[in-house]
Amino acid sequence: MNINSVGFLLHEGWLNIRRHLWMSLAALATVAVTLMVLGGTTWTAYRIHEIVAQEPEQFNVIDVFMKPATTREETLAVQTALKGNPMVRAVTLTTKEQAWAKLGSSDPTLTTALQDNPLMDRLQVQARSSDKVSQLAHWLKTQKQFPQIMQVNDADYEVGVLMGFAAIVRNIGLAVAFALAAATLLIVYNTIRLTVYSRRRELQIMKLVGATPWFIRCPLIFEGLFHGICGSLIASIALIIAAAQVSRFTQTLHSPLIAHASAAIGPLQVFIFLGLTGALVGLTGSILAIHRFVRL
Amino acid sequence: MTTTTASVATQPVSQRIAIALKSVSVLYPGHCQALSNVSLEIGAGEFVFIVGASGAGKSTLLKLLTHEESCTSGTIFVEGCDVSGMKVNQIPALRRRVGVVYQNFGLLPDRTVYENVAFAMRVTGAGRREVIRRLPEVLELVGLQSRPDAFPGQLSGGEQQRVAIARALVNRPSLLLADEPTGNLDPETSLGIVELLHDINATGATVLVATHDVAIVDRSARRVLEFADGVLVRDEACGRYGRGVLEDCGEAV
Repeated sequence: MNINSVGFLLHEGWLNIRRHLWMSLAALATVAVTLMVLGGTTWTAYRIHEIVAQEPEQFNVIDVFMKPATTREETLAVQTALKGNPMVRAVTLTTKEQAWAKLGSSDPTLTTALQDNPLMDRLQVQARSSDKVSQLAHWLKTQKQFPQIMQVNDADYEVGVLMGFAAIVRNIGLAVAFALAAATLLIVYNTIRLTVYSRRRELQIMKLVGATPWFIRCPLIFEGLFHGICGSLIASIALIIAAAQVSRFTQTLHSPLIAHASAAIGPLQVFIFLGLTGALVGLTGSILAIHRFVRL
Repeated sequence: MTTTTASVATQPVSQRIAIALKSVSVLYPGHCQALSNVSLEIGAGEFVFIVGASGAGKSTLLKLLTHEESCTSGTIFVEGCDVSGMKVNQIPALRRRVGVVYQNFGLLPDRTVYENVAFAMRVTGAGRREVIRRLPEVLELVGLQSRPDAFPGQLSGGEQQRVAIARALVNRPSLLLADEPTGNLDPETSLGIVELLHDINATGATVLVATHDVAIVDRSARRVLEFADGVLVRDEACGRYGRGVLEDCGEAV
């Protein structure tokens, strides 16, 4: 097969698409929707895992709340003692006055309504490593050395909720994407079947004048690939636009947990992932149809 | 069951055998015997008519030669190749050496004369330059050099059949098979098509024509193979459509 033949085969494939323009558009749209769902759910699940994996520091922090009656000197003493613990990397104090001021700046009506500051001093204890977090949290919760400690909150709960959410998104997304992928396969399969039917004369002539089986199959495979790759292109563009919108929204939340969600998967990775998936669906649909309907 | 092995006809042909069938039978599903124990030889450069009633086995014989059908038993040689034992990947090479023409022309209605003929070249891997070089030559041979841009719908039946013949010839096959090539044409146009087939035969190609057309067989005075119920019942070097002596044997139309 020379370069002349490649041009000819691409031209023949394009003629196939033009002949069934509406069916081709239906196939293309279904591929696009399927890949949008697949890409969207994969992206969401990936981002959640990435937040947890890339920012372990924020989950290494344990919040220790002091009893309201604790004096500043006692809090500072606890801070100094905790710093000496080998499992601890750092201990940061947020006084109840600082917390009250921060609350006042974000919601002045609340502080006005409350009048007195009900908050407590908070020590943010950062573990030396993520595998020490649970052990350190357990020790803080059960120790008797510092009776001034009222409550200990670790990140286990938040991580659990986040990972559970990621799993649900991933599982539902994969189930929907799998069903849509099956539908897409059938649509591509049916489109190629129509092409085989409408081009039966060409295929018959190709066979009789001695075209090789691959020469006969190529325009049909090209048609399937076209649906898959163009569908994935549309899905990629939609997904990148959607990711940019989500990123812009999360930045407005000023949440330390999702602040890094703005660092989305690069457009190239999206194009590659969806492009390969689309090409695979298009290729499989066309090969199945050729196997079933083209007699060589 | 009649089995006839023919000698090569009176026409001046080379000693090379273009087609050889040895005890070939074709049995379709449902115990339908399409061909029964047929043996024959056709020399390179011969012009042969295949006659017989519908269902006699004429078309099956032609399909065996292009491997569109496979024989149930026996051996088939085309241009020295064993077609009966041919692997799938060897079939395209065989078909490039055999041109085929049908009664219903089989043209692509949305392509011009030029594109219809060029299509047969392009699908066998020929480049654009090769097509540009070869096409005028073939269109001139079939008398359509002035109508390359016409669509099949703008052509008469005879012209459409000429396009089909041009398409069959464009890859320079050494063997041309025509299955009822005049079936859809009036008598005068039919004679023109047969004359064209004779001209092609004169260039050295072996030509096999399956037909019901009495006039063209009788006027051509060429070798005739007659089939009945899948059996080769007559093989005359210079025959008529029906049984009987042909007075002007040896003179073509």
